This record gives sequence, C-alpha cells and structure tokens, in this order.
Amino acid sequence: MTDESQAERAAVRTPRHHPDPGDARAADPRLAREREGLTVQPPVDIYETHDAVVLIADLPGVRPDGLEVTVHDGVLNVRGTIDPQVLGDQMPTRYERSFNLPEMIDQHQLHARLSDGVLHLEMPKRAESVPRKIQVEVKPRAKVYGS
Amino acid sequence: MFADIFSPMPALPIDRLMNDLVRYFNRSASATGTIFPLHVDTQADQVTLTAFAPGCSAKDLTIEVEGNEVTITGRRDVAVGQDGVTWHRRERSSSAWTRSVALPVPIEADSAFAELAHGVLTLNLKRPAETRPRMIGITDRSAGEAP
Repeated sequence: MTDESQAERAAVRTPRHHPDPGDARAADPRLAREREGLTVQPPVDIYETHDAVVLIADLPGVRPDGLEVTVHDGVLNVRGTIDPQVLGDQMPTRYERSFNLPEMIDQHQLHARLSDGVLHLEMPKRAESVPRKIQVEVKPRAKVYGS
Repeated sequence: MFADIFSPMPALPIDRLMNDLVRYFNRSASATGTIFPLHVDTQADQVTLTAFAPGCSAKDLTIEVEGNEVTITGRRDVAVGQDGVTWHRRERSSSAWTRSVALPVPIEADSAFAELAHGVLTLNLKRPAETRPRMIGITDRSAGEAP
C-alpha cells in the first residue's frame, strides 16, 4: 500500500473533530474544511448611513451561540455554524464570509443582532469620519459712515 | 468614492464548488423567485421537509399539501426604505417565492406539523401505516440440522 493511500484511509478513519495530528493530510486546512461539511458564502446587503455602515446577512439555521463575528487586521469575518443533524447532508452546515473593513469604521464599536436567521451588524464610523456640517456665521455688515 | 469599500475576500475554490453543489441539489424541485435550499428526508414513519426562510415570520409563510406534493410560499421585505443611504451591496432578494416538491412517498396531509425557528422551516408529515416499510421475520430452517 502506498503512503498516499494509507494517508487517505487514515483520513477516512479519523473522527471529524479529532484529526490525527500525525497525519499530514489532516493538517491540510483545505481538506479539513471539506471534512467539516458544506460551507457557503451568505448573501449580504451593505448600506451606509450618515454615521454608520450596516451589513445584513442571511444565516438561516444559525443560533446565536453558533455565530462568530470577528475583526482582525482590518478584516471582518462572519462565521455561522448549523447543526448538521437538523438539516441533513445536502444542506450547508456552515456559512463563512470575510470583508476588508474600510478605515472609517470604528472596529471596537460593532453591534451584532441575530433574528429569524438574519444577522444585522451595525458598524459606527469613527467620529472623525462622520461628515460634519459647519455652521456659517453671518455677521452683519459693518456700517460705513461718511461715504 | 467608495468603489472598494467592503471588498469581499476571495472565495476559496472549495467554497465555489460547494456553492455549485447546493445549487445543483436544489434544481430537483420547482421554484419561482428567490431560491432557498430545501431538503427532504424520508424516514420509516414520516417525511421531514426542511426549508430555509431567513427573515420570514410564520405569517409570511404558507404551506399547501395536495396529494404528495408540498408547496411552500413565502414573502419577505428587505427594503430599507431610508432616504440618504448609500448602497454598497444588494445581494439579498425581497421578492415573493414559491417552492414545490413532489414527495417520494405518500403522506397523510392531516398529520402535518410545521415549525419555524432561526429562519428554518421544518415540516413533518406522517406516512400512512400501509406504506411504511415493515420488518420481515426470517425463519431459520437450518437450526437443529446436523452440520
């Protein structure tokens, strides 16, 4: 038996969440993702208001404890996990999508809400990025005498 | 000005493959409007139909059973309706949608039970007793014979 076929058999025998650390294929992140089930990119709406950017994502089947929203090095990552026992093999078991966050977002003030399988993520802009309206002071014209 | 805002991270090849697979499996049922994944699981005593309906409440959904055909109709409105917002992405659809699927076995429509949780609709339909698989006992006539 070749090393490759042995490794393949080992990968099949290895439990899904307990990969054999000695198996080179188990360390392959691409294969690890494949073993964990279907991963799909959820559709999103993104719109910008005066003082925030709002992201809305369809994540049906994800409970609040299965949702993970992280920001690292300016990259927003949304990841939701569905219980595969509920949906069967042909349905996605995980959602994942990443976005480059623009500089204007205050990455420490993100607010997430999950309702009916829909994620609402509100990302306030930094104070210095919020457009400000400058009041123009109008002074009465000085009277000129003697002209 | 914001052409590059929220630029998504590139999808991995496995993600694209899985998305294609999900679309492929969902061609087996007829549909209009938004296509959400739908899964049919036939068990010994019942059929369980699972459909994604993110953002829908119970009043937004209608289920009809005729013979062994199930039709699910849903509607949701994702329009923000705010003035002055700037859209960066609009991938979520808001139209009404209909999914029809012919179940592979007869079912009892009167026994239908549906529930909606976290944007996932689950419909349970009992199978008539006469159509359920039965265990057939085997009489071993060789028992007691001399080897």
